[in-house]
Amino acid sequence: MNWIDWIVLGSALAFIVIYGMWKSRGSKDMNSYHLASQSMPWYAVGLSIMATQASAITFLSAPGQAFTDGMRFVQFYFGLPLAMIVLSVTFVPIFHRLKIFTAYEYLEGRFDLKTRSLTALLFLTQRGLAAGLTIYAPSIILSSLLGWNIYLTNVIIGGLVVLYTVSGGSKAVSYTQLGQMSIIFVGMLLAGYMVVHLLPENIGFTDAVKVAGKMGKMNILDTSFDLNNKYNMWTGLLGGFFLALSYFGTDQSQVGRYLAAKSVGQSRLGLLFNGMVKIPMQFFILLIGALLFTFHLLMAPPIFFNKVETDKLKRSEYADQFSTLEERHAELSASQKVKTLDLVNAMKVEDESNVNSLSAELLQGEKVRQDIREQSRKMMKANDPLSDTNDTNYIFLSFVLNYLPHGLIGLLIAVIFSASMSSTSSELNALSSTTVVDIYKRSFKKTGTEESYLRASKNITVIWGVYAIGVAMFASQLGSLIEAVNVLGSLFYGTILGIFLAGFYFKRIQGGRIFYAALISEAVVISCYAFDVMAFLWLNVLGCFLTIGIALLLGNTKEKF
Amino acid sequence: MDKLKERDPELPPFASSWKTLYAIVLAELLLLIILFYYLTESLS
Repeated sequence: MNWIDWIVLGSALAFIVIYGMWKSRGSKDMNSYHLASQSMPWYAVGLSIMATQASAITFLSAPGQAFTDGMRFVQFYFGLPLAMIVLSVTFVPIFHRLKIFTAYEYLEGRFDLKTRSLTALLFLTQRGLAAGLTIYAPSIILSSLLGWNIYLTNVIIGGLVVLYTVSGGSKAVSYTQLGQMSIIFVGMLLAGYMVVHLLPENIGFTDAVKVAGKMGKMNILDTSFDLNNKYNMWTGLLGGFFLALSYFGTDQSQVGRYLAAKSVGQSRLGLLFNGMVKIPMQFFILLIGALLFTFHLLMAPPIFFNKVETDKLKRSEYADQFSTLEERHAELSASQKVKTLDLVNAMKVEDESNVNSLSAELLQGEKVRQDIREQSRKMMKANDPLSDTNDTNYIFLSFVLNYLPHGLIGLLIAVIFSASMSSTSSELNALSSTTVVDIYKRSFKKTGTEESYLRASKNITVIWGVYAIGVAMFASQLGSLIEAVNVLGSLFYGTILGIFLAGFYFKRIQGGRIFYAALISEAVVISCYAFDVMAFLWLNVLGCFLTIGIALLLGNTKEKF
Repeated sequence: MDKLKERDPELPPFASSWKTLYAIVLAELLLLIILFYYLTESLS
């Protein structure tokens, strides 16, 4: 990065923070602080919902995923539009009518206090840790590739978010997310344009897509039904539907976004906007990864995209062996480039037999490349058992830093910051709302004044912000626990959704039955996860059906509980 | 549940009813799946 990038990055971040604080000045009561005075228009709600879901890892990981595994990941989002419709029909009108601050408030009126408190505590536990990882994930990548101090990066990202979230509450979150999403859209569009623009002169967008297709990267749709395959159409439609319904319907970081809308109609429009835009947006981000694959057939990629790990190898006893691998890799890349150019020419003259033979040769070459990468991974592990041998999240940013012009690099780093900050701000705002409304005000200080609750809300936002930054600081020592934390929320989503759906659709289920049904269901879901019985997305479906089914089976035993 | 159901008189600004808007969202999903099927088949 040079001074132009720093100016672009600094200006973008300053604009977002100042704009958010200015637009949200004057939050003087709980309604304005936690629900933005229910004043947000549908487009702000829609963008806010999208900004909350899309963290920095979405933009760093998705292109890398398409680069390595193809575009099939897009199917993961197929259930989302269906969930947006169900939310618009059922959840939104009920939440608005009850004039609640958090989703969990509904559960006390419908069931009992312990069900409300349990779900609120589950949310606080999981989301508090997740907020820390939302800050940590881009920090570790930016610090690795740019040589930044990771602790300082954590403090800057977390500190900026705390600043405007504490100051302006929900309104500041929504208005900063408008700016953040604008930067993200512009940055990603320019990055996509540049991948194609930087291809050799005689190769255009269509050629690059066709080559990616021949290399198996355009595997967008898989119609086969397989419970253990997490990315096919059915898993996406059914598993993705239940996951989206749980996340958008019961996770306060999302519920808080559409409760801030002016009316039921504006909430619905925001959700439906998300339902229409999410899949095309995700498709486009993945397409950048598929195009990058073709780009790197023509422009030699490094063996491994995380430079920190390869630099460690070059300073180790494995330096000579790694150097030999690099030579083999350079020869392979040169040969792949020639074959790719031949393949494009064969495609242009529609020489099918040549196209088929060259595609097969290129695929064989990629197998050799994977073998070389695997050997380098083994060296990394032998040299340092704690080394990170997964470089998927580094592929896109490596392209940005090595091939894009100055100024654009700064803008793309601003995209990463924006994505991380937009998710974290919603999380902190939701953590504060849930702590104050569902725990503090409900169980500890029932007769406080509006001012005292507002003061408590701001103080608790600061505490959660410091906690999240603290988690980010220690995350590097959590090792495989990080994955466990990421999985944790999804293990509970199905059960929590079951509780809400039982509340909405099953009049017969009353009182404490749902609480014990949820505990039993959760034990089964965790067992299924531990014994790897089914693909991850199906656990949401299982948890939801089990909770409702067990509650129904327990019969009318309200009195016993 | 019935008591909780919102009798929302607000109509969507871009369609004659909410049902129409839901149908448009579903139609877009269907179109995208068809497009993805076509792209997968023709580019692989």
